[in-house]
Amino acid sequence: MTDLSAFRMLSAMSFIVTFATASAADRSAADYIPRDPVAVVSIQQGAGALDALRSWLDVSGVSDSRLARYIVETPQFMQGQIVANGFAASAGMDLWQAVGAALGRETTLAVFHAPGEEPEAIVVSIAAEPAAVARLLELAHGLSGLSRQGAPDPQRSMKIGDQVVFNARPKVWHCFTGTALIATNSERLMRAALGADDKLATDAAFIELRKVAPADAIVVGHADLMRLRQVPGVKAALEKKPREPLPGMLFGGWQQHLRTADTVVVWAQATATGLKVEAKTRGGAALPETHTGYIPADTIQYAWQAQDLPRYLSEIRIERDWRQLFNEREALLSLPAVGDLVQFATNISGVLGGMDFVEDVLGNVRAPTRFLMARCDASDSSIKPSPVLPGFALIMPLRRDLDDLFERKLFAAAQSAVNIVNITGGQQGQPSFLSEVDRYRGYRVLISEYVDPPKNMEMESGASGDALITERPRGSLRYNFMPCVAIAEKQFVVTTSPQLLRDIVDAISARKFMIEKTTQATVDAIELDFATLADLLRDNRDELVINRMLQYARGRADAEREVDAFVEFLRLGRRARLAFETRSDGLCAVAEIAFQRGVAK
Amino acid sequence: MSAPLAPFQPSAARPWNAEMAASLLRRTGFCPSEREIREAVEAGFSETLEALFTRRDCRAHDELDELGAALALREDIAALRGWWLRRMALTKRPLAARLAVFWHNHFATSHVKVRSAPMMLQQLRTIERHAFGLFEEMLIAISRDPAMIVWLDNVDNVKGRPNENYAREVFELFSLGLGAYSENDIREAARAFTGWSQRNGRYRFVAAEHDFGPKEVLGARGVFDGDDIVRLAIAQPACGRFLATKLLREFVCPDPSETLVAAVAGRLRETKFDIQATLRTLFASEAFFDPALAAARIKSPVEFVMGVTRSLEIDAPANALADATSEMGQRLFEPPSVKGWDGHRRWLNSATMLVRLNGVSQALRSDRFSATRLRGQYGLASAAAVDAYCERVTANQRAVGEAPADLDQRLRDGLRVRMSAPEYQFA
Repeated sequence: MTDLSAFRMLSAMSFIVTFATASAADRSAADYIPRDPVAVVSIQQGAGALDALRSWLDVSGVSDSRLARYIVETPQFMQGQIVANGFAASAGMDLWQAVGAALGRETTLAVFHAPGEEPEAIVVSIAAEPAAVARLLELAHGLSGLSRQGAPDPQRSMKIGDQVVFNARPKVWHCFTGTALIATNSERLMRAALGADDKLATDAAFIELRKVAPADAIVVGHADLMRLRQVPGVKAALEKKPREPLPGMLFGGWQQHLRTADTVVVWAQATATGLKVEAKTRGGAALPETHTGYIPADTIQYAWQAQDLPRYLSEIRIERDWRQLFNEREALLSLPAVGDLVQFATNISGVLGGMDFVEDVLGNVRAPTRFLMARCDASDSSIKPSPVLPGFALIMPLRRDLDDLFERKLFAAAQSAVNIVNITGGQQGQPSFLSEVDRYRGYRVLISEYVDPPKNMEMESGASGDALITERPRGSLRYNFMPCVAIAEKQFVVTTSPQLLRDIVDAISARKFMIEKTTQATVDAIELDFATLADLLRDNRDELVINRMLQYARGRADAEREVDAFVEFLRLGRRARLAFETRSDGLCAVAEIAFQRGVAK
Repeated sequence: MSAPLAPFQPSAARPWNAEMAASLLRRTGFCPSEREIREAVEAGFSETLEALFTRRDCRAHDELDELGAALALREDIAALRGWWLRRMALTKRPLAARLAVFWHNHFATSHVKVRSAPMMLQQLRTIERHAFGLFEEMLIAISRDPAMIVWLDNVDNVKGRPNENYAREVFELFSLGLGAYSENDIREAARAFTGWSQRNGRYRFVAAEHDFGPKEVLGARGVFDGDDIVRLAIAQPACGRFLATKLLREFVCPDPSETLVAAVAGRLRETKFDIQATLRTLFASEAFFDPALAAARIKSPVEFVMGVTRSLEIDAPANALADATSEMGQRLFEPPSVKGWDGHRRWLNSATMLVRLNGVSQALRSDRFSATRLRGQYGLASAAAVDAYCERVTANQRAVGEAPADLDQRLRDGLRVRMSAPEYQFA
């Protein structure tokens, strides 16, 4: 008997033996993965999730969208599809069945990292239909030359115990045990997976962590932060004090939790309208005294909701005690960042008409700070900026015990700041806006509006001979910004658009009360409305088409088709939200995306 | 017709072939693609020459051309710069594109001072409209151009307090050159341009600010206005020589001979300074095809970048084109001074040469360049065919050393080595 035929026989025997082992069919991916990974991610019921995704693509309208049709019609996609379909068909399946077979009952990726060494990874997929996976692999092995006439190529395979392991490329090993498809970039991990060492499935901490995620989660994962912090890049990122003041004041609390927490658990679930991903830290120390500014005590809940605003686009809500953070700046920030922050406070105090930015402004505002965006309805405006940006608003609640004099001083300071902006612009030959103090719904407001048409209006009327893309005069980006200020019901409002200012004052006056917040957690959130985003992009359709033509060398027709397809695709979405809940003892993040049409669960 | 401008006719000794076609296209526009070279060889010398002046532009260029106003109104000069370069990359009329840059340098006006993208666009449109026409009409139009009025302070040129900036440059930089006029001519000419102003990007003649008195300029006396000054300047013998020298430096060689300058100046005068007629004569002349004058000029950054992208048929994004030319020292719409870019040897130094070499490497690495596509398109199925292609599109017969057997890699390496060579910097 030649060596080769002996090898073939042994391979066949091992295949039969593996199939014959009754317990093999019940093993999970964690039964193959060695202990102590840095991170683990599992897709549960991959084939089922794939079916759900497939039906959702149809139900939600994604499959039928212009963008999907556009992608499907690209030559690259068509070529890839032909190859993939051909491959799957050779194994007697369609493409979806082939992908489902590969994902199997459960697919788990684990990453290992020892200090000073390259990261290692292992993927284990438990086949739902072992025969189908075997067919696919047999075909792939034949096509890639890993096996010849059904026998493994001895130059590109080896045996670990009874198991044939293929070495498709340098540092890529894979094998199929009959129920588990295992792939890794480390021979050590492959040997450990197939050996008798303790596995992740018997690790009590792993079992405990898995209980944190709900039973219906599609994807579950966790990362060992204690090990992850040993990775030089991660260690440096977590230990280093922020170089810029704003990121430091925004993310310093989260950074502190990640410095001390033991693990972070992540899971994803399908919801009735979309998808939800959650992450939670576990273990770790409480935030130190210097970090209490990240969990402010003096916080309110607004009675009015951003979604009540007409043409609402997005909201970022941040709960911070800004004065406390400023006072603890040396503990929280790097030295250059401290310098920048102090410089900023000094500069801004200079335009506040004698008020001190830290004590008089930051010291008298409460949390949360809201940053809102709403699409501006420019239909009644004589000038359309190019591009059209949304209106931006900054809203900060003031302390309740502040008297009217403080409000007036703050308003006067804001008025000075607006005037300085106007004067500076005027000195640079930029168009000026007229600022007027008025009353709106009984509240004092400062409204600024451009009075001059753009200097280029005469050119716009056709002097250049260029074809025009708009029927109305267009101004530069600057025409998006008209500083407006209001103080209504102890809420200090600054916007870039008179319309947005009035809308916000309308919302405040409709619900005048403030609700004192009762929970101890800080919730920072960012939210986005897809329909309004699509409307905003439609407002800028000409600019987007021009950009495609200039930067992507598209003809006008193609550029228009691409932009329209993308805008239509956005309309399939309803809303996306990312929230971070910071408590003294931990951090939780939740990301949700909702679509117009429901997801088939 | 003067001897240097005697008509050139291809002959058995100097046949109309790919090399000669590529030379004509390169020197009157940008380095051509293989397709352009093949089309020119097939069309013949006369038709190729005619097409330089009469070919219509393609739809993709015209679609892009229409976007100028929209971009200018954004007040985004960088976007406008990219747009201009993208048009050059697409145009079927490279000579018109080269002329536009030539006149932009001649009437060097910078957005740094003008601070209005619409005005800069308006000046470019004026230049493009007159680029092939009568020089007198162009100079009159430029004298009324709002960007020029701002750039050379003619808004401040008023009766009783003339500002001489524009009048000085009309003589020194636009028509006669140094030494062909006196300080008194400048003072008197400045009076003629008083009241030539602009408002909101439109030319405006302010009669109350104009000096209607008699002036004495370049030996003539009369109640002259700005148009008269332009006509008087162009009538000077120095104007023909000045303009001929500049055209020859742009299209032939950096130091044209006195004989050649005199011949082209004579042709300018014969045609009443008709630019198109003069260039037709020049490009069809023995002098233009004199082997001693071939590849004598150093390519400007615009020529270099356009040459690489057009010859390799790369659809480069507008901002990449603008960044590349700017880093090589030619930031369109922002010439360094009223004299424009010095050009020729000044284009190259250790820094800009490095940018050129890196630019070539980046272009050949970019996913917008496909060696496989080019090989398929032009049937480059053998190593010899690949090498010949590289030599044609780069006009460089430099050997590559050990060329790889893989034809795609051979094509890439062949182009990279030849385009990075000193010879490729010349046109």
